[in-house]
Amino acid sequence: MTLKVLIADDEVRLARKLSERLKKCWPEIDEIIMVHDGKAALEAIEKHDLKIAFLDIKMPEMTGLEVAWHIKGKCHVVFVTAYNEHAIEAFEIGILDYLVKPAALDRIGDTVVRIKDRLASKPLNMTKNLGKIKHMMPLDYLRYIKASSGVTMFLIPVGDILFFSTEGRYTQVKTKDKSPLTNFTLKELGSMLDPGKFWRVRGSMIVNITKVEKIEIRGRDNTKLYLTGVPEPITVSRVYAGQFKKI
Amino acid sequence: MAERFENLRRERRLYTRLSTISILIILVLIIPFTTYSQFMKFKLLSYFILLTSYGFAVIVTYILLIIGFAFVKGRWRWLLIISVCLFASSVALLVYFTLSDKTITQKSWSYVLFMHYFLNFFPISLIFSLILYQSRTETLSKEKQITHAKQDERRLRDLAEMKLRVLQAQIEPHFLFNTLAHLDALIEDDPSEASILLGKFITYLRGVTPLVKKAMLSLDEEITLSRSYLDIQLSRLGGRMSYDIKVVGKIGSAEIPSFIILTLVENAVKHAIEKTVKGGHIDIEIKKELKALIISVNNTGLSLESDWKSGTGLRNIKQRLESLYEGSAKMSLQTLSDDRTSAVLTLPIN
Repeated sequence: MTLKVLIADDEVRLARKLSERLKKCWPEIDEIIMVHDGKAALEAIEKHDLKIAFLDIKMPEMTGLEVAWHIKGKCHVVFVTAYNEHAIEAFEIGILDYLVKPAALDRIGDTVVRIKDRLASKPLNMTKNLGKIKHMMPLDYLRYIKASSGVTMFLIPVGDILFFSTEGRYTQVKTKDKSPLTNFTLKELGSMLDPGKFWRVRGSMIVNITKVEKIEIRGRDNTKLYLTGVPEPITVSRVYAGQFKKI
Repeated sequence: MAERFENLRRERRLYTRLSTISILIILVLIIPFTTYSQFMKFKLLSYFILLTSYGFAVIVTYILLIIGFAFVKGRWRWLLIISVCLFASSVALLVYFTLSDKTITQKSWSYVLFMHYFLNFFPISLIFSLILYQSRTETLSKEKQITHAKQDERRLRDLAEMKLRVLQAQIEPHFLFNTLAHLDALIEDDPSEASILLGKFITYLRGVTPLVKKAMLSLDEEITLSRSYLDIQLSRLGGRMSYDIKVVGKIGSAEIPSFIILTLVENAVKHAIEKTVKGGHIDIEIKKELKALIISVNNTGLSLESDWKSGTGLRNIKQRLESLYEGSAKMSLQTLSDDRTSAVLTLPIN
């Protein structure tokens, strides 16, 4: 098995330095993949089926935390950051290690030992834990949702999404032109989306209310939403109808 | 405090309205009724109405005088007092003349009323209202003193808080450690580049640390500071950032609030450039226009709309401009297009 490691840091010089030192500490590594933004990091993890990722927290497009949320226990994560204000919380959510830049050789050596110890075991699923403590971390609302149809993976910007609906074990992500599936539950998504834009309309559906064109309220049990580009209306269940009356 | 003043104002309005109504009632009642009853020789009714009206007039005069001294300010007070005096004397004269053609007892009656009105009631009401006026102004001035003291205290506290916030914002640990990480990487790979970066870093630290105490900096100092910050960021972000500082014409030795350009520049880097892959460009232009210094920071990159406008950096600037220039300095923020934002400061100079 080839050993591949991801390093994601928007500061190219620091990413290169880390990869150099990592190679020195761990000569068995076959390949180090370097990316410079969060979106590319997530794509690389999927594409190469990576098991170890060094993620900078502050990155363009997607922060390291957002990437960690998306990984959902597929890969071991080491956070790399310039300032250790969130180290304790980071360990709580189940990351493997937390490196503070500039990381010296012997500190990276410790990390390598730690990784080797845990490489055989399954990585921890950080999605749930991150949702729980997101108020303590600089974790913004999600900007992209990872979804796939067949073998193609998409990172869909949340602004393009019309609604999410449960489809069996998966969740369908409906946009104007495609409807891929994601393995995040509505509950997981709900806690990470901007509550001002995404509203639950029934047990199995979350709607992007910025895409609502028309709301039809006919009595207590009959509230219908018309979304732009969706011909058939969406029925709002009685439990969630109240929020539409207030607007 | 404001509530109290509002109450006072409301009280005053009520009194003025009441007194106007009473004057009208008296005028409407007293004149036609006395003439009518005299003409019809209804003596008893005529006296009754006359004396009731007189009593009413006394009360109204009291009230009006009190209002005149205690509540009404400026020339309105003297106008009111003079008109009250005129009104009072006309009432007294009316009473006097109505009864004067009657018997001696009646005559002495009217005389008593007349004398009572002018000699007894007038000085008493004057003294009374003066006392009231005095105590009123005293409490008002005391209240004013208290408000002033409170305002001063708040201003001092705001200033201290602001200083602390400026300090925290300037010496941001993330920026410091990140720069150190870059130095660490450069020392191994490119020692000459490392020494250049270290030089910039030293300029920045030298600029930031001792000057936190100063409220104002010369424009040159501020530009040097901003430049050292931008140079460090340039080295960190590589090709993702570029910048340009332009000073139009001769400005001379202008003083500006410390870190004000630096804060705008930091905002642009943090919120517009660092968050995108393609990065952006920052344009700083400083020019003099009549008696104002105009500093504009334009940048491309992510739109700064939401998180930037509500940030602490901008709140700091606004508060400092308010406390240093008391409203004569301006800051405006504009989203020019999807990826272009502009911040313009207008500072008065002498």
